[in-house]
Amino acid sequence: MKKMLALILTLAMLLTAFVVPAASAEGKGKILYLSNLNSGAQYEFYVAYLNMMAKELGYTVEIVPADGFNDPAGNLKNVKNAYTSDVVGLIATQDGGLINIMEEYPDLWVVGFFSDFDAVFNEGATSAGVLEKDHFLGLMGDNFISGEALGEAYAQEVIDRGFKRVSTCIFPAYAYPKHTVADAAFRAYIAKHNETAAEPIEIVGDATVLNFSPLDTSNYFFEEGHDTLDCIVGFCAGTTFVYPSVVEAKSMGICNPDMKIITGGFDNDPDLMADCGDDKNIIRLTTAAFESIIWPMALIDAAISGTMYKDYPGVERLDSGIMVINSTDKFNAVINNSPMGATSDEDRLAKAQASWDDMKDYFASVNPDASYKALTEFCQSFTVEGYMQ
Amino acid sequence: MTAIAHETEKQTMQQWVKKHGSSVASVGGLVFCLIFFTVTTGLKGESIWSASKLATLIGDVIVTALMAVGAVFIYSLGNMDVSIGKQVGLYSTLLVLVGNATGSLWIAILVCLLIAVFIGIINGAAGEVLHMYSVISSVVFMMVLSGVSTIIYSNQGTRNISMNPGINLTLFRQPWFMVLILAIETAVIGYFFYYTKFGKYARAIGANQLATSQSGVNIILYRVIPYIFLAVCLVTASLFQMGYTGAASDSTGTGFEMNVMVSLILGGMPLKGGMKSRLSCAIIGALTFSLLAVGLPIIGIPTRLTFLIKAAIFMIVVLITCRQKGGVLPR
Repeated sequence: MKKMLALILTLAMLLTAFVVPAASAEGKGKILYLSNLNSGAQYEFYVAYLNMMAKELGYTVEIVPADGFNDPAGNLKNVKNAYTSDVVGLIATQDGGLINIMEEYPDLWVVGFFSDFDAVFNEGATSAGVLEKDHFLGLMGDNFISGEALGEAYAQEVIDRGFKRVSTCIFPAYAYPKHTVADAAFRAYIAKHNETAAEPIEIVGDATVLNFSPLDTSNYFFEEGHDTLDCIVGFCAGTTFVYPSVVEAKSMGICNPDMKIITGGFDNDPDLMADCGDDKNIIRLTTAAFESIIWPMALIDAAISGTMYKDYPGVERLDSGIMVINSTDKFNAVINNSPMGATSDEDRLAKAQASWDDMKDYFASVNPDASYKALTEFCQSFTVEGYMQ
Repeated sequence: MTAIAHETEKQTMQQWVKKHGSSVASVGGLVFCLIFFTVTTGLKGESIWSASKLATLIGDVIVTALMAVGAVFIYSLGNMDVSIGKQVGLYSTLLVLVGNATGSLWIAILVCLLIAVFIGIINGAAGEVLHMYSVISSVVFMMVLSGVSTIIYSNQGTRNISMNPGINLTLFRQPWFMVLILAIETAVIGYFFYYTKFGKYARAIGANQLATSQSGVNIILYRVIPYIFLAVCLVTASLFQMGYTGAASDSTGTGFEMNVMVSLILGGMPLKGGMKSRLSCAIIGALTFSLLAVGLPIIGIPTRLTFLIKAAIFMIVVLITCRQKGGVLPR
């Protein structure tokens, strides 16, 4: 009993220690950030950047882990558990259950970021009702919203690199319809190129559908034509689901030793980043510009403050700033000069392409003349070249 | 005389602690959480007892509690069922699909019950008939149901499906209705668990299957029946899981089996089952688990840290309650 009492008291003291420094801040309220990331350089930067902006604007930010699988009930439950009376806004990076969240908290301002929000914007989707809510402000997605644009961008990269034998990987269409669209656009673009090319590009087989598990090394590279591929185009998260298999296949000597990967996302695993560049395994990563998170914060602040942009057109679904990292110099710039290579919040903020002074005039609550159009252009203007200057 | 009396009193106290220590720890944990959050949320200008937070708490606890109440029967056997999450996922999906197709929630419930009972019978009997740990058949079902879910959602062309607005689900979001159904389920399962041979034999099998078998008890039958009770509880839980948002997804139910396990252990359920198994473990554990989930963010602890704290508390409880000689994990 004594041991148990001691444990309970220790636990109580630990909890109290957590509680005391977390006294609620006076100000304009709390903004919840429903995050689909829970670790890594990108996550650390978003948290630091949001906190910096929130501090300047008079808010606090609470990070709420989104459901690992975008389950509607999981997201609703997580938001409800984190909800306190001072919550005024929600920046959501997942759309599962968004309609339920907005019905539960009708006064909550909601803006989307870093996701496609198919469950909101696709006709008849489960959260399509969100578009009828006047408290939903719009979405800035994760790089290209359009699957066609993504597919064509990757196809152009393949053409520019002079690859002759390529294959593609996608996630299941029911989960990521954009990948299927991108794959079709990729094929159409290559087919058009082949009409006039001296040496056509061969796309080997149909797209390989990865059911959220890595490319199966033991089968994939023994299938006809896969052992001589020049490049795998991963519309899925290739750093996680394609890269390890390619490294394994190369070590086993069962694929073209010069095979490359073109894919999206960002991973701050030092080993993986060291394997990115013109002469490395990953030759192109496409990801959302990190600083694009200014957009949801500015929009939600304008709504909460009652200073909505005069030229705000209503809900839009926009591309974020797009980082095309496709050369050794660019990879080095991201690793060394961007917040992705930083180890402290101070360093992260210092390495961002926009400081508070750079961005504050785009906030309607700070600058009454700020325009939505200028804000959007500003947030879409961030590129990898910004880290090279 | 005084020394002897003192020694006797000490021994009695030790025996009482040995017998009731686990219950005291679990109830004490819940009471501690209630007092702690009542005081600390007040300091933050919030209240765990406010209508909105109570509704959040009940909404958080209901599905886990409904599943855990049914799972008490399985854990009392010394078994565990790892297909619980996938079953809830499938039933939630079927409730939406069949409900939309027929326009009747009752038909959807009936379909789910039939499938649930079928899975329960296989899960319960397979271990005994095929001479393997019962958990193996539940692993098989977990994988099969995962595949079924993938096929269903592939055919639907989406990860999320929602119930036709024509079917009114608001009842399943009412806290009073959640409490009512939980109370009814607990009373019914409690009756069978404590006052009928189904519960007594289940606990006896958990305590000593050989002795129970030699006493003339039909082991297969009394292993299957607890799984049927669980099946009914899972369909009930699925109704509330789906009714919470009016939707289901390919990931609905993921990890629920762990929530049930954690809740039961937090509630003081002996992992090896047997005569000390108590139904109250399900309610106490699920409430404690949800109280932490709802209370910690209110007092200013970052939500992502609440998982860490819950894990630490879980480990402490396991260390206190499960370090018994010869103690084994359920299987």
